[in-house]
Amino acid sequence: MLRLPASFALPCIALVAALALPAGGDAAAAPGPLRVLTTTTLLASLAGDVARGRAVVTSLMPVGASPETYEPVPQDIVHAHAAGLIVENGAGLEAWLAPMLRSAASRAPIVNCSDGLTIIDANPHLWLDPQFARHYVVAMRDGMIAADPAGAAIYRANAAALDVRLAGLSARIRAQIATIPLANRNMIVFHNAWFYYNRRFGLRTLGAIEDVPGSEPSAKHIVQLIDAARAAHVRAIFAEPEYSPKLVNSVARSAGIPNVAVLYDDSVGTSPQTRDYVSMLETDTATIVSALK
Amino acid sequence: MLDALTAPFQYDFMQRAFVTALLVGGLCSTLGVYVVLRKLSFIGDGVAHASFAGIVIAYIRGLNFEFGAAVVAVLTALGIGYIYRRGRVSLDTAIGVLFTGVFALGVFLMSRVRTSTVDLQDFLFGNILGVGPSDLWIDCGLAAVVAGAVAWNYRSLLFTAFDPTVARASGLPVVFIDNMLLVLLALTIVISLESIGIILVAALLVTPAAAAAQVTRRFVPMMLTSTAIGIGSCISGLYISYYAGAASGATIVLVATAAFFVLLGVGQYRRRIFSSQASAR
Repeated sequence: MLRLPASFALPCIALVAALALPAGGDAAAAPGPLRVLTTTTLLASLAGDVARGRAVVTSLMPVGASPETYEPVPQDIVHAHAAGLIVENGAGLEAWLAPMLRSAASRAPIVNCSDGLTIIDANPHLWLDPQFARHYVVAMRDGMIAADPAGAAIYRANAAALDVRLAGLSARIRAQIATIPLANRNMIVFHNAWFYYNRRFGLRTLGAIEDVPGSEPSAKHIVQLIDAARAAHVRAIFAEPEYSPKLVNSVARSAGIPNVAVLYDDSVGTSPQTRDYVSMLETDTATIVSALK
Repeated sequence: MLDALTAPFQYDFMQRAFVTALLVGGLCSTLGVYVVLRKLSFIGDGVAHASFAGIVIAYIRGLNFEFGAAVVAVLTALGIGYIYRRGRVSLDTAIGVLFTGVFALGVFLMSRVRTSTVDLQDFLFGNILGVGPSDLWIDCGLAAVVAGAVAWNYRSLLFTAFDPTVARASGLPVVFIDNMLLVLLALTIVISLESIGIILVAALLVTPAAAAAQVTRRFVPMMLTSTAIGIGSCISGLYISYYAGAASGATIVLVATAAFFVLLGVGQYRRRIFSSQASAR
């Protein structure tokens, strides 16, 4: 009820941004390093590694914002106008991006990271599978080379080093998850972000509190979750740091789920253990393993 | 049939939801009679929006969210009373001026915090299905305080509700009563928000009392009818939500709205009967 619809907010933001933009000067053509603007903080973490020593990477969304329900602020339009390259997740995650870029009169090329991957059930959370993140890195690398050909060697070297790290991360996660007994590999989550991760590593999402991000669940839905959790003897339910844990706690109490833990998925956190993509997934994996064991 | 009625109670979250519905639904719809009579219909939305500023300030200063929300809600309520008395505007205009201003302050402060790690609105607005044992105790305490204050000042509240001018002329402390009512409302709204969410609070403060006003103009029957409609809507809404798979808050509001239209029809029908009897005589 408090949230303004984007259709209303955007024209207002565009107006403010038009006043804030530098008159006459085309910031995109300004000299200096390539400016890369990503939509989410996790994309910024990956893109920052690819761009290291050459381009400047910023995230449009702040830490903790939900990409499904984000509403741009005037500063975002100023940033978008100045960007030489825009990196998005795609797969329907950033419905607010296209109208915002129109408002910003942005001519920057857009890298759609999920392009070429198979999207299942319109679920956009491909980045939580590190194998898919390697695909993201290739897309980012090629986008940066196209926008800044003089930096090609740097981007290639950075992307190759990141690819090795991501492959190592994927192997470590697999080994960690393998220590969870097969019967315990069921999760109940806040929203269905862990689908691709679970598919990759052999876990199962039994259900989510919010089937549609931001929507209120029905009593029937909560009852179904509780019944499913009881039947499968689910060991843990996972909340998200950005949202109130009340409903999660409610389901845990009713279903007798012993562990309630917090997972980072749509955004990095602020602590050193969750500040970038790799450490966030390491932390999440450790959380999942200790909660389900 | 009996199974259908008892089935939801095997889940303790549903038990807590039903108890909360009784407590908070009853409380809001009882106070709703004052809200409707004093033309304070937007106080629910108003205080809810204003308390967002409180939670933002609490977040920035590292204080308890509920405390911040309650302080700003009470100050806003007193501010509404002040503007109403001094500003030559009606109560609804005073609410409109102050709640948008305070809400905008919250949005302004929030937009300058670029590293927020939480969705504050999500913490401010609860869900009746997520009520925990501690929420339940707080709701019980609130219900006791509000019921006590209303019972203690019952006659003064009644006079000021129906006719503040006459009440003032007869020497009642109208300003004190008004402020007390506004503070009680602010506390009720803030605490109810955290257990049942904004749409339910806003609706329960208005719809049951408005429905009751269709069938009676007398104070006590109006209050009893309003409370019955409030509690009845909560209970039947929870059942419907349970079996139909619909959002619980919205279902309860729709039941209350339906009750309003039914009583609107009943009231019109009765008035027509009465007037035809009168003309027959």
